[in-house]
Amino acid sequence: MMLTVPLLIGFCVLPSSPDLIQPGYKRVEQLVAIENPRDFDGWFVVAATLLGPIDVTVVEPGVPFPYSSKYGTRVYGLPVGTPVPEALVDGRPHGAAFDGFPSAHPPVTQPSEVAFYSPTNRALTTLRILRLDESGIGLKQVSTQTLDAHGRPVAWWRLWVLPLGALAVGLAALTWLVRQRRQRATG
Amino acid sequence: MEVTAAACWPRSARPEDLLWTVASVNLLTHPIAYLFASPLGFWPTEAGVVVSEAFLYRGVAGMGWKASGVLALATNGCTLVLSFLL
Repeated sequence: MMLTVPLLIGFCVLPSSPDLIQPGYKRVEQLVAIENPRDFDGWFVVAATLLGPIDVTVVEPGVPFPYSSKYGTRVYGLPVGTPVPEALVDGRPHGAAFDGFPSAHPPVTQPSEVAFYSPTNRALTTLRILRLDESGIGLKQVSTQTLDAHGRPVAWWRLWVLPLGALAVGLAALTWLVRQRRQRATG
Repeated sequence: MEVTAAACWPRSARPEDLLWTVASVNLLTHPIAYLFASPLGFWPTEAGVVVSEAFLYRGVAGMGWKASGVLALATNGCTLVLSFLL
């Protein structure tokens, strides 16, 4: 009893924490790519986390960078000639290091976790910068792809074949069991 | 896991094909639960699974309401606790 109550409270509270994956689910490696970070004269683009481990990436065209909803990955536009982004972060809270630079939250809608049997291992959202100036960055989502462990796109039927197969087997087995039961009852 | 948990159900009160029923019911409910887990959230989905399984245990194995409810709650409770611990 001494352990039961804290365990039950823990089970009710902990799943809402972003650190925990729901039972039966696995984490998806989240990636974002930007098509045109070099299209704006006098600017370069970085992606940086606001919280947690420092992760600053200079964004290259079409090259995926890690995205974390938990650590608040944000896209910043920095004037060319600005010191190396890692140096900006040194010893200061992440957000403060980039204060004053135009920024935007990436419009990402990809899944952060999937069922454990899913072939999906990574999710890649491709974005396009519509506008980059002192007033801010305009980002538009171009596409979202789910990828398997080998980096290949996951076809829709690979997502559904296992659950639908299990569903069909379960339904068939239950029908058979009901029939058997009726036969036993009448016989 | 739920079949193993159901195997602990008292033999005297256990329908003949209970373990097969539990296995089949889980094959049916789990894919549907994964479908609803994202939009509904974990706990409402888990509650829906328990209620659905109780109905199916009653309908297929012919158990009473109380017994099928307790069985659904117990089997899902076991797997839930184990999934968090493991």
